[in-house]
Amino acid sequence: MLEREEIQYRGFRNIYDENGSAAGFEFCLRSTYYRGLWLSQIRAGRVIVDGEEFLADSGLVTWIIRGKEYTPAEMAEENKEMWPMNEVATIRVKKPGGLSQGFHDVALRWGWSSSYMPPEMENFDDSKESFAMMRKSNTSKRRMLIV
Amino acid sequence: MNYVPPKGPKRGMSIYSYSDLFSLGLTLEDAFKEMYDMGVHGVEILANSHIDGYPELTDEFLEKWHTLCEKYEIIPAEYGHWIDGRMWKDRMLTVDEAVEYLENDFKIAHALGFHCLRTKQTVINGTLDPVENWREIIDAATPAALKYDVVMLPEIHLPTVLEQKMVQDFVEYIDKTGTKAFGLNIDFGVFSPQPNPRTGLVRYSKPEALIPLLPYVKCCHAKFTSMVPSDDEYMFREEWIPYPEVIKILKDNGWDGWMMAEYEGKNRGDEAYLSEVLHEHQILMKNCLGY
Repeated sequence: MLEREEIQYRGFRNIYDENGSAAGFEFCLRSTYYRGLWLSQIRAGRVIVDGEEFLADSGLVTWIIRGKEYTPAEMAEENKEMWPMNEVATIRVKKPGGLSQGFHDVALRWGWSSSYMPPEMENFDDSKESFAMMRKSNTSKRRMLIV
Repeated sequence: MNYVPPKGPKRGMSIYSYSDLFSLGLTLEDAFKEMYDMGVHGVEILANSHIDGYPELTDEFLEKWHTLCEKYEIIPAEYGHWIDGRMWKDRMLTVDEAVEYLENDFKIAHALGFHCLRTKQTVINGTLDPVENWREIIDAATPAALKYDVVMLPEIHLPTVLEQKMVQDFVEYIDKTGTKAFGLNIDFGVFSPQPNPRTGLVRYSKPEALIPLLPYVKCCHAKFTSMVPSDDEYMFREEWIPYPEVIKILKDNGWDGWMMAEYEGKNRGDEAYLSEVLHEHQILMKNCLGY
């Protein structure tokens, strides 16, 4: 089962390289939109953890959907694959050392295009938190613990 | 299947009503079971949402689909899909690309047993007028639609109203071409005088405005947002939409088709609330229809 929150507690963890050193972290996201999304429809924005920003085009952020890993730029070109509404995407972020033990404020700015809605409703600007059609805010966020 | 659909308006269910629970793990079978409880025999699914493995149609899903329809006496009534014209950030989908997506949907819909498709077009403004080349797209998709025996139905949905030029344009297109591949889906929300939650605007059509359109209407969306108890033979009413009047018009004019229940009110993710409100709405429709 998935959790009701957009950012899932289950799946939040540090990731390690082959030497066992923490190389970053990842978390899982579910979509609360009522339809699956073509990957090119997704507007993938920045990840913000405890105020530290990881920009979409920084090369530090990837999305894993149905077992395949994409950079946001690759997703923007992928018009045949879909993110199902009842599956999570895993957001993976490179950060040497990973996240420290304790609480972290995790946020992701993202949106999608909806071609059947007025075009002005889908303006997406990930530089600030703002209203987003059908989900009130362009920012998913959650405070979670790392062991 | 023992069920034989009667002529006339029929009660259906759009799985859209279950969206908030579906994304948490509710299954098609869960929804079909409840439809069976309520004597609902027609279903609408949304391609992008409810078909495992979409945009592929897998053998597993096809088998599951037919098994479930048989078991719960469900008839595939409407297949919801989209032309995602702005799926790319920096350019519009071309006509050829749009047709490629449409053909894939026609193929899947046909294999699943659907004839009516609710085809959402790309819109260009606040009253949801379609892209200027919509005729070109529909023309180009028509041979495939005829091949797979499906009919594309744009949904007339608030803030569009029945009097809007767009609706007349669709009707003229159908009259002029004599097409069997294009028609209308009317969302009952167009009869709601409730102010738009986003803009505050009040914009709606009177039920009588439906009458001249009925020959073009192949399916309806029985939209509802708020059910209230009613101390009369209906037992419940939709707070804003005049269901008895609308359904009487459909019956009296000999309209034959499915009305897909589409719940768009509060607490859609609360399973107890959702089940109750879906039942209330079906009671209202059953009491309007007499069956």
